[in-house]
Amino acid sequence: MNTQETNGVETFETDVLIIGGGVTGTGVMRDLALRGIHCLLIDRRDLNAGASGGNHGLLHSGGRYASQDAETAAECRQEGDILRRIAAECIDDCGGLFVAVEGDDPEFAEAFSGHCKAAGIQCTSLSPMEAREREPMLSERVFAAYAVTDATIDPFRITLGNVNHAQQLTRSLFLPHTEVERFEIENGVISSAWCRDMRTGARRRILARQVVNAAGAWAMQVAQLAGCSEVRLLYSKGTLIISNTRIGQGVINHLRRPGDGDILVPGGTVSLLGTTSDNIESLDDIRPTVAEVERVLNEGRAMVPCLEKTRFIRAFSGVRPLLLASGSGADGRAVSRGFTLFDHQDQGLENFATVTGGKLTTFRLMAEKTGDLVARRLGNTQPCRTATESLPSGDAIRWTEPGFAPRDWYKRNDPQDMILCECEMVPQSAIDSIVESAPGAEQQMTLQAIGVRSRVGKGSCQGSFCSIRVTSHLYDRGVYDSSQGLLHMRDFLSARFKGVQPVLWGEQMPQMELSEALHCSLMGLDQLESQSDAPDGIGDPEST
Amino acid sequence: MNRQTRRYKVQLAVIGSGLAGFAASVFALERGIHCAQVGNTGAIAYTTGYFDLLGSHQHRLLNDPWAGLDRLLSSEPDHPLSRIAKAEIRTAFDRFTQTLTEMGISYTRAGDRNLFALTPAGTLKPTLSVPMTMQSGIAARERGAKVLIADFWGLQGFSANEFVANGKASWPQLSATRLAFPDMESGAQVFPEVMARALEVPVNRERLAERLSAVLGDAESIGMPAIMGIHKPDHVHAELERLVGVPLF
Amino acid sequence: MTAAVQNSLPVIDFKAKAHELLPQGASYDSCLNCGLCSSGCPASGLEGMDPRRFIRMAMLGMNEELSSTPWIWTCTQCKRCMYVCPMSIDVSVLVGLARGGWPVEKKPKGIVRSCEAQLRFSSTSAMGVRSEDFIEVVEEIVEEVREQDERFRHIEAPIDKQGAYFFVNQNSREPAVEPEELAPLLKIFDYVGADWTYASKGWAAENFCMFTGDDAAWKEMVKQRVDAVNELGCKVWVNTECGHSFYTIWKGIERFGLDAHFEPGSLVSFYAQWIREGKLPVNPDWNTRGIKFTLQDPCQLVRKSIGDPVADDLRFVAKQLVGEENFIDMQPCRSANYCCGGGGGFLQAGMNEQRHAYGKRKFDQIMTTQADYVLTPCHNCHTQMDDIGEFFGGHYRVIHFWTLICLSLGILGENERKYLGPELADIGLSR
Repeated sequence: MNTQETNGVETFETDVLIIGGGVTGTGVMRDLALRGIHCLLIDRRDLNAGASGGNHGLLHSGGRYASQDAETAAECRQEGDILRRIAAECIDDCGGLFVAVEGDDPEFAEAFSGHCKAAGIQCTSLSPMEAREREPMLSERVFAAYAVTDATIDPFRITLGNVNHAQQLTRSLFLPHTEVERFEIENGVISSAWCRDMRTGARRRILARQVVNAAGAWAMQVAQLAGCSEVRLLYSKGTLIISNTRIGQGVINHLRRPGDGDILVPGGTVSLLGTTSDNIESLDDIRPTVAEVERVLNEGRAMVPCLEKTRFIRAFSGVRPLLLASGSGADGRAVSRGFTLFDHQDQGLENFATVTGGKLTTFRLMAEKTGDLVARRLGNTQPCRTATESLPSGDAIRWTEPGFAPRDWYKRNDPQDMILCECEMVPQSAIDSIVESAPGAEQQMTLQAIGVRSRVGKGSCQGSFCSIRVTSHLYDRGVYDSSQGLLHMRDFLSARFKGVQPVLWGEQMPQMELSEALHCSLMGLDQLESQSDAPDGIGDPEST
Repeated sequence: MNRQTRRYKVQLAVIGSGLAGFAASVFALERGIHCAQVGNTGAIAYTTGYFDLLGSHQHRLLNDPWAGLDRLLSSEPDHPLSRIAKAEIRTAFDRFTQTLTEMGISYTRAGDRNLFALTPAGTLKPTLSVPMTMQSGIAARERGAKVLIADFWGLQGFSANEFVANGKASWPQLSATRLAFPDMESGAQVFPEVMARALEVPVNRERLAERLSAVLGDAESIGMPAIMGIHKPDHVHAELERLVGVPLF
Repeated sequence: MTAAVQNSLPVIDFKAKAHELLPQGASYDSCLNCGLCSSGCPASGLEGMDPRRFIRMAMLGMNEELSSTPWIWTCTQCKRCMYVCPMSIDVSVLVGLARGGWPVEKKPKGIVRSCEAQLRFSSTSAMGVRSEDFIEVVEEIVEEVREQDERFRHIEAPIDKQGAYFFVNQNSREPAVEPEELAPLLKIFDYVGADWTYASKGWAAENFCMFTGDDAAWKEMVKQRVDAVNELGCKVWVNTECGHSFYTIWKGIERFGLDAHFEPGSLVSFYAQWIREGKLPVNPDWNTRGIKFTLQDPCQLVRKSIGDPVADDLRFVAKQLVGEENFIDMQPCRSANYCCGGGGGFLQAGMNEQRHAYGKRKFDQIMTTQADYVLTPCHNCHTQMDDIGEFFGGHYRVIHFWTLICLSLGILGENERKYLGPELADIGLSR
């Protein structure tokens, strides 16, 4: 790939420009790289900044869709099997239960195993007592239970693995914080994409033979930049809450028509309770609310009563991009979880494709279909290899797995390798490997970027201590030599607090009081702007 | 099994061992009230050492907290501080810090202006009163003095480089160095509490002072993380300054 | 940091156990990660561990690592981490559990052997002193005191006296290796006219079984003693100036739900009471040279059992003995005091390098006071502080309260001054 700078505008050349650093975009990147194609991946923020990072990491058995959407259910099952083969390290094959409690529709529960069978999904009926043996915290009021092959998957590790592998295969490149502002279109071909660096404001021009829009919830906006109006999305916001410790052994689904708080998913050392589904108009300022948290919790308690006394450390929200077929209703849960690949041919564009809808479990299939289209357009005859080629690991991309960093640290037995994040026990050596060579390391690796690539900030203190220690370490490494490091730390903590705010009760309250003491009272992070506003450091008009 | 219950007869029971409880006991004792205070470890273990009155108002840092207080109370008449007269606030501050001073942890008096304390990150924080051990750093910054900031191998969360990077815009004469603390040279994690306690022992002070003197160069003063004593910081601070021969903070 | 024990050890689910054993609101789930525990723990950094790390590793499911880390033998279970924790999280409970999980043959031999010795004889002595030998030693000492000092010609050391007010446990160290050190306490009891008794069963004041992590053995040890006290119908159980033995009874009765018809009392509190009542008219007049004293609060007696009230008693007695102006507290002290590193079986565990590193903090504390003597009512504290003093080159001496009480009263015999310096060799000698 050529990079040149003319008139202060950096120009990049690539075979394929991929817009959107979620599982789909990075999946496409790896798919194409396996066919020998060079890609440039951009994201207006960072990897998994949208729905790919805002979900419960469930690898669906398909059971959830068995009753309503047999096609998606079957797709989930097949893709689940493939991912277990090619990305075993990213998966916790913990199994799952569907449970109905008193008050639920017995007929719906009754019909479940039949629906599963129809979709080819493994499903075993359990007595309530057997179910409680597997998951002792289940409600006494469970009257029906089925075991399914649900698993969990680490979407961050998948994404990092995809980019890492693509970089190795074809020296493909990832540029974070890069937003498309406009496309130059000549004779039905996008000739260049004009982008902006969201942090520096610098302009970038990308010359690509093909452009893939994998912008998730933002896919409609990106498509419109290219003049394509047929991508119509329904934005469905979902909120989840994270417990301080892992509550169940496996996934626990509420056996009823999909609703709030109907799934509890283990995520390594924690559990995630979700999910709400509310249609929203705008993608700006997505944040969880107290009302959503209460809804999820109230519903979740029916299945697992101990949630009442569970310590929750954070809430977060993602936006599902649901495809709105003409005439379909406005209920987000009723819209198909299937995906669509638009070739935009009928809009007169030769080198633009949009892939959207779908789910985490089916990302590989989405990438395969997109890769097939793009490769064909490029005249590349290589077949898709993602269903058989294992996703390789790497030193800099293993740190998102809970418990990996401390085990690695303990084994290495090096007293000088400081633990920088105490909750998740992430040592300095892990941070160093991320700063040196994790995807995106060519750009500045900020605290937030490190957070995406590790467990830093994910534990019960939500960044209270690690933010200070990691920032100090980054200053010592020379990553920062100005006040930018503190501004980044402040931004990181603000982003964390957005999620902590709606779960502030019980132990999380003193935890955040402590955080405030550290960041505001001690370090004055709340007053950083006031300091920089006044050039002499201190401003107080009345007294000057 | 029987267990003895001890009974204490006092005039006043103060429940809570935070700053408010501590202040209540101090003021009661001053009035000759016999009191007992009970409590557990709490937020007082996490205090910063600064005593704030009002550092900023409507996102503007304040030089004059008392004038700022007027503005705060006119915009928020129900603010708790509206219940106390300014003179009383000032007296309470001074009496409380006086007690700390008598305990060997001297504080500056509550003046008319905020002090701009140096945070561990090298930024400034407006506050009304600070421990005297911080004072020479504030003065050095105002003068723009040539100052060396030292951090320590194994001590996490305080980086001299960070301090310098953030402070240098308004204080160009800053530089950074890293030292090994006596008997904590292995590079393994060290805790500030342990370092502070170690410096209560004369021989450890002498050894640290030697290391500080070796890196001093032409600097007029040395700044460090808050490790200069924990039980008798005034004494530790004075002794270290005597040994190194320049102001320390 | 040294590598964990290589052989595979039984794996404990620490997170689940924490939920079971610790109260809601003070379980590992409540941890704020603030690190006050680790910051104040002298075992922090040994074997690459500290209390916060122990909690975090439990929460992260690192059960194999925790089940095999030798750190649990360097943690003295002093509970300072719990004391300073704003959420009152008790790490020591799971350290005890981890100790119990080690196969006997892998546990530190010194602790195991001491416990085994205790279980072998009805004396419950960790040093293997049998009851008949103990009685013989006591009789010899009584005879000696009667001969040496006119004032004590009627002194008695009753054994198995039914209905005596005090049941006195005696640490085995005195009868086994320094019998002359028995005498001062006997003299004090005689001086105040205490109604007391030793017993022929369960008289030994130590309990290493607790340190092995073997709850059943701990219980057995406590039960034997409780039965012995109940049998004699005594009102108050006291032990000699010993810390852990007090805790094992104090806590053990409650923990194992034993039926004890008596109250466990601290000898130091009775010293204080007798001084207040005028029965022990001690004073600091002997301290004409202004010799300085500091005080070690035994974790087992103060923080883990009675708390600050007994710390008050310790200071009251100390100041009465040496003079207010000659007493300097260590910092921190009382319930916040650092463990010296002698407890938890550390002295017997054979991990000297780690124990010295642990003790450095105590050594620094003592050096800060610049005291000539450290008073402590605990045998393990005594031994450890002597040892770290020698190791790090301190010039202080460590003494029991009984020595100083008798010195002040002018009843300390010439051969009862083993731990005093030459400057006190002649003070208050009656002949």
